[in-house]
Amino acid sequence: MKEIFQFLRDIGSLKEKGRRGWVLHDVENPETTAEHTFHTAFLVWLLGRKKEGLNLERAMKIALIHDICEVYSPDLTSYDAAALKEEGEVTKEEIENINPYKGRPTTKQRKQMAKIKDKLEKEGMDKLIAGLEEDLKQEIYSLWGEYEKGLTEEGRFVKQADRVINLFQGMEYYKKHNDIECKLWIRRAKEVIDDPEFLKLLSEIEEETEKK
Amino acid sequence: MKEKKYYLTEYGIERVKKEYGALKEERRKKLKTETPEVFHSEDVNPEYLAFRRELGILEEKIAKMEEVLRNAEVIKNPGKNCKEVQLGAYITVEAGGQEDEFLLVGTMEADPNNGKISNESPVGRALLGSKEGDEVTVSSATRVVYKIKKVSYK
Repeated sequence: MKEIFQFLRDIGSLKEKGRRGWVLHDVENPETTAEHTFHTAFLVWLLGRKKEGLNLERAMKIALIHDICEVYSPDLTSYDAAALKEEGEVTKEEIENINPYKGRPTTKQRKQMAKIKDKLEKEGMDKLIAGLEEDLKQEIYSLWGEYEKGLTEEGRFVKQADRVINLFQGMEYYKKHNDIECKLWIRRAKEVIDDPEFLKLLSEIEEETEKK
Repeated sequence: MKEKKYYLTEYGIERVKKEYGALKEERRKKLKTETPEVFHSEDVNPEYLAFRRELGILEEKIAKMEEVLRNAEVIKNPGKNCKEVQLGAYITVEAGGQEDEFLLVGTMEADPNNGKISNESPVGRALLGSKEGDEVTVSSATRVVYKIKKVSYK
């Protein structure tokens, strides 16, 4: 039971970790990673319960674990990607000293970010679950692999839920803080969201944004 | 029920095949090395129940990969001279004063962080069928015009 105790203590720290995107926008009491996970899991349940062929139990578990590596890995945003060089290897030191730019990253910058983020998150996850029982460790790796590789319906569904709920939260903050680039994010969402149910929710978010 | 078609590049098909192989290998190892006793004293062994559950998940994932491979349609390269956006096209666009490059793929292969966008996304749908020089508007409350600067196939 000791390893479960420690794991709970570790992931509990995500209740205190403000999401970097909101911190960069100086949002007061920014949403934490744990709060984002709570919202993502709800969205997966609400829109996934009638989705044909979706294993909801697995999808919910993926939602729960999708950001736990952030106990030890940095929460990097598209603003960080927008500050990266387009060519050459990005080092850990460069990430630690990054000066985010509140704009839209290019595809090359996104690719650069994906590469270094994958590496740092893998290290974070390895460290986080090292002490767990082997079968539980394997289950977490397997669920996380689904999320990262996107080769299963469940992994892709949670990935889209993650993006849509982030936009939803952005819209909520946009109503209070003018400097949130909600419209830029909606544009991006239309490039990355393709699930019909999430697209309906995206329309709702868009309408709500327009009301401001 | 009619099964869904999965549009995949050759690289995408290879990825699915690799995953399918890995899942089958995992199942083989599991069955060979882990099968616990069904009963523990007079009760059903909880480890056996966990084993069955894990095996069930593996079987489900293997069945899904088989369905994908059965219904996969390889995205064909229409040739270097084709300037129309079809699946598999590399598209250089300009939108909001910024240049971007996308590869248009089927939903299963979409990976926006690596520039691969789905043909079922609003932008993917709008770009499909357009040609070099066209301007495509993604119609919504937030209106964005994508100027198609270059279309190519590799």
